[in-house]
Amino acid sequence: MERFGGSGMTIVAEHPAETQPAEPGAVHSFVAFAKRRKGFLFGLVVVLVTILLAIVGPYVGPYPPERALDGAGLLPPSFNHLMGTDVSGMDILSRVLAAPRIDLTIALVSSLIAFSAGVLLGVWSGFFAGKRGIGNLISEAIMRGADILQAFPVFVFALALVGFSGPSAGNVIAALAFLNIPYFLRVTRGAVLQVREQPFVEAARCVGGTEFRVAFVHVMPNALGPALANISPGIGFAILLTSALSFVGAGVPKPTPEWGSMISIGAANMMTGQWWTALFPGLMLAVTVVGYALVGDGLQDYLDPVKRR
Amino acid sequence: MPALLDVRGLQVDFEADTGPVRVLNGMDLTVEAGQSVGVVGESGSGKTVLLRTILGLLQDQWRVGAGAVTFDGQDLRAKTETQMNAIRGAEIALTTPEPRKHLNPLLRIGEQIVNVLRAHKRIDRRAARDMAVHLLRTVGIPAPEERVFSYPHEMSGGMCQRVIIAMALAHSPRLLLADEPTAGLDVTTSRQILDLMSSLIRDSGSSLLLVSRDLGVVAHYCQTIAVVYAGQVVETAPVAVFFENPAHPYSRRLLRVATAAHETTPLAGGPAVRERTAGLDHMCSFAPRCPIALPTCRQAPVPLLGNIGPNRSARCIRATEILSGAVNPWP
Amino acid sequence: MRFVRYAGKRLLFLLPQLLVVSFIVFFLIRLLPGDPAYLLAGQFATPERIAEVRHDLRLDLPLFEQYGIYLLNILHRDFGNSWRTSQSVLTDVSQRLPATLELIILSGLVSVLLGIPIGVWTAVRRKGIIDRLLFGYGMLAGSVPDFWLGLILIFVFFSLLGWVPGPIGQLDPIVDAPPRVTGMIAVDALLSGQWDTLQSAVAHLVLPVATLTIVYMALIIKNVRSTMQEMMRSEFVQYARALGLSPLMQVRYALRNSMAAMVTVIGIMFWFMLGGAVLVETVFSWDGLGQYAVESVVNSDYAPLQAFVLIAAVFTMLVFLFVDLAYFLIDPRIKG
Repeated sequence: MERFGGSGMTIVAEHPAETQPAEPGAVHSFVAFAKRRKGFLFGLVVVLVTILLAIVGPYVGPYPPERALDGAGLLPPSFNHLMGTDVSGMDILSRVLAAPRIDLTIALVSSLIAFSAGVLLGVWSGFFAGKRGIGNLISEAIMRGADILQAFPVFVFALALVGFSGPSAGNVIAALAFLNIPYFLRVTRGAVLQVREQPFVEAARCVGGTEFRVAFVHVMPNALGPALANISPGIGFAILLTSALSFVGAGVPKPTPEWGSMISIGAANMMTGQWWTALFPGLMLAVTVVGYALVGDGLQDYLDPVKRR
Repeated sequence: MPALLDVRGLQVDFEADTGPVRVLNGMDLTVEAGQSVGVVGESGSGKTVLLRTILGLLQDQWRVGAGAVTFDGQDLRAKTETQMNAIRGAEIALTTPEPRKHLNPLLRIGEQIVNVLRAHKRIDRRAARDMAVHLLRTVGIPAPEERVFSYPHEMSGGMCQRVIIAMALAHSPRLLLADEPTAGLDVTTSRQILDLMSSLIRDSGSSLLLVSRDLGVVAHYCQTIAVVYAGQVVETAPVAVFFENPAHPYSRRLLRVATAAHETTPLAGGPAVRERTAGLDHMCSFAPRCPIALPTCRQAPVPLLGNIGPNRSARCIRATEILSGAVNPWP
Repeated sequence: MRFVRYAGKRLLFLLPQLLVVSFIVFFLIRLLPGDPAYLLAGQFATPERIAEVRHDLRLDLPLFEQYGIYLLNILHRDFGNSWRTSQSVLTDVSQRLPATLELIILSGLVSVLLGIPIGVWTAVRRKGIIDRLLFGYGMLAGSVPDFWLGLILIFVFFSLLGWVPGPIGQLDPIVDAPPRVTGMIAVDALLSGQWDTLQSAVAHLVLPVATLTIVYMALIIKNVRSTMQEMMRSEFVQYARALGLSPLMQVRYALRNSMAAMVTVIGIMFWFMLGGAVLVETVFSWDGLGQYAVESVVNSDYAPLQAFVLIAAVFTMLVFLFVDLAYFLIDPRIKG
């Protein structure tokens, strides 16, 4: 179960479309772009809503998300419980609303770590690729490392990592951060390989910068585009992985509201006909991941100089 | 006798992101049976687009607007894709520059020639294979029985071009559209290819429409020359008299530049001529660059004037003056 | 003949590659935070007990020595024992691997056999609404958790409609397993002509295979479609059109030249599917390698988990080896 939503963003291109630094008046053109793309708009709404829920979710629902109500087990959706209750009597709606807190936290933190590390490694790897000296050696080592990391199916690897270090939110974050580095690395490397050929890089060198300065102060800001565009789907993907891990019991421990573990709790009931127990969490999950993927797609199109009408 | 190919007032636009660009702006061209016409112009003047429009190959963002394309009395624009497919390769054939790119890299060339043969004739594979070998021999490829099993990447550019010519002439088309057949080839190979094409055409009595950026090629291998500027034909003339005395200021400029370099210089490229001349449809499109332009030139578009000499026409109101020597744009 | 030489060369490389992989698996696991001895001994263990466990697991030896022992054991086909099943990991794995393979191979086959024609068809017949539908399908398929989809399918087709048996494994309890030839129940039933068993096995296969196919076929369809579209617009296909080749021939040219890209995406799909299989097996109680791995994780059973990671790595290597070999057959430009 892996990420490949959106228009082909996972099969990471080594040579993405050329990106340009943002121009002034960017806010206005961004708003105009958003208005034209309904999907992008939808995705933005989803992102905003989930961030909001991450902050206030647990307090917004009609019931405390971890409170098991006596005698209220497996109630079908009704006015009192809009999404029904699960086998322990916990209100599903409240839990569904509370879940983004943990899912998004894990996803955001791990994605940010992966982004930072991936971009830095990608800039180094792309900038020093093919040049003589230690820089190139390290660049090659980085690429070999990324190859090795990508030798395992992502979910399998995440499962193993969490399995060996014990299930906890922190370990999930670490595992996801580690596993997502290669994506950001490759995309940034591709961008850097193109950007470093541009004349202004030569100019920066002539002005007397060291190679490091040129790489990280001048080249890096202009190579961020593809990585930035990939953050959003990366977050969506991390949410999917987190729920998958929690579903099998290797992620977030049980009573904490999390979409994957909710599905796991409700799984047995699904088979006996209580469809609401696993349907709603999964639906929310799907909608969220789609939203983040759409935002990623939209950003990628937006950053491409050939903006579609 | 009616012309074999008659293009009249052809307009073709390209829908770019920034808006439509008019690439062909009223093309007029005629090719008689057995005649070879050379079309010259800068890159971007629309020469390749013209060939592809004749064959109805344009797709996607290309829009063919006004104008008519008549072949042997038939209106090509009215034909369906299936009907055009029957004509392509059989009655009108195309050769392309960069031959290797236009061959299927994963199929042996014998296989590709066989496919072209079987596209228009009911013959079995064995007979087609033999014909393919024979065709390769005709275009001068050594050891053709072995070469049929080669892949395009195993052959030189010149050989690939010969294969293209073989495929194009496989069904003895009545009209051959040759798009810069010598692009990317060295001088010797170019010469060989052109001689080959020329003799094959002469033998079969086909007509030739040769598109080139090289004035010398046209001078040597064609009977008539048509000069294209900004999506229009600005002059047509028999080759001999043209090179002695061109009638249109642009033609004179071309010739001057070419001979000044003391060799047949391919015309240099630049930003698409149509981008430079867009918005000038109300006047002569060459006027901004013309040293002898009159106020009248900027008042109305100039039609192709056909009476300036035997078989000569030019899109210039001062053509007769230029021909008689009364005025010289570039002394 | 060239192919045999190329294949031979690649297979020769396989051995050192396997060595490197085992090395990496070993060290990556050892480098992780979390003390397996502590986890294994339990929360209430005394320090002496923990040291005891550590000694049992040979964790007190220098790292390279541990690796040496590990390697030697593997060569002697000893992958350790699962303390949960009280059997050797090798036995456990050989009992369960075929079930997982059956699932992956079947789902992969269906995805390819359906996905490629659909991808080609939608690329050749360009209608706006199909574009839209496909985009939606691709987006959803990549965002929907496959375990959830499995549950939904179970609810609809089992609980509601009763068309398929429940997710209790590979066979109905009253049916006997067929004599073991490949270990894949459906295949073995077919081979031994036990039609009742075969019917039961197939009925149980329907939903898991459908789940994996629905999710992963999208990848194939999208890639085949975009590759075919690109190929149909390529110079050589357009030139074939210029010479009067029929639309069918043009499609055949485009298809032939899309094969390399298709093989790649098929390889990637299988690679993804291993992860998907783990989840689907859990949902359907499939008793394959995936479920085994999950149970090992939950129970802190290290030896099986380590073996599973190794198998996953080998699986990946093999998949991409096949892809490379296929490239060699497809593209005459690749030299040995």
